Amino acid sequence: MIAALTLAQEVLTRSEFTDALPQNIAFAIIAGVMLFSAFKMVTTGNVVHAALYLMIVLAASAAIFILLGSDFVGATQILVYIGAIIVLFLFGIMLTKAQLGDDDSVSSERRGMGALVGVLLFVVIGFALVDTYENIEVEFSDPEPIAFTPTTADVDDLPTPVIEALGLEGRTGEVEITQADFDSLEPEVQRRVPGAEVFGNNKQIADAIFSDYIVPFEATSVLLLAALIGAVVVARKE
Amino acid sequence: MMLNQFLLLAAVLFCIGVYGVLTRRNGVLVLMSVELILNAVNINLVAFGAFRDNVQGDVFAIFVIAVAAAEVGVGLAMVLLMYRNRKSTDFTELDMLKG
Repeated sequence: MIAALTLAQEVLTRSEFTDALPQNIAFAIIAGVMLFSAFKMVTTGNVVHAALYLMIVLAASAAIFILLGSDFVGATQILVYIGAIIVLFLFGIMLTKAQLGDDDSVSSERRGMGALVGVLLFVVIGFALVDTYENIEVEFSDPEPIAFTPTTADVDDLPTPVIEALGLEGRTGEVEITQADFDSLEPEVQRRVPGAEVFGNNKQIADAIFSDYIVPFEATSVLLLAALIGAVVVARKE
Repeated sequence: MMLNQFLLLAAVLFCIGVYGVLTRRNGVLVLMSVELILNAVNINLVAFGAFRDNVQGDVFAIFVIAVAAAEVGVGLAMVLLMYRNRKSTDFTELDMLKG
């Protein structure tokens, strides 16, 4: 009992666990819920239950995106997948009068072959991943501030790097921080100025989509239009 | 957090999706399993984006989400058409092209 406790304490105080303990606990919970729901989704006989399990999997992967610091992708995932695609699936289930009760059973031969392919695929991918990225850590850099509103602040309340960078040593009382002052600072210092808004990596994503990836972005809009027209033409009654 | 924990999670999700595509007969459930596979790829893209500390992974994940939405729309339209013609959504019955 005591040996087990000391072992647990030893594991928990190893640096790679204590560095990001809350994140690792959150990851374990999310991953457990996600894999359980995914497994239930492909094995349950009830089609509507499968759609609801898929919803849990998609919500869990949105949580994983937020855990990785990509809050915009997480929000998009919730809006597009949980908001739209799940509803589309439920419509598809109801319009095709699929067996709302038990799905017709799959032959055990197909089941066995499917499981074999899945396990073999995981062994290959897993071996390659463990071999290549053995113990590499994901390092999170602090996001850049995206917006600044000019403010007045008491010098005593300002952090020391800001005072040094703006040359305010020896001043007392209220000082005004203008946009020009803010722009002259390094990003690491900008983050600590009062009035700076720090908000994820949305600014960089927007910059990338509307400059480097503008052609794929426009192509996506054409693709969505083509899919819309195609779906209407295919599903329309003659 | 280690990079591998995200990549292995995505690998397990991918394999569950492949199992679903191979074993399910109902067309709607096959499309759902395809969504599972696309989602596993998205987790990989975002994890590599965080690992390399740039936003290209996020941008690609957003494009994948948009394309997946289009794919579901067309795919469900085809399942509806199949149901209207054959009164069934069983993909194993689609063997007209069998030689």
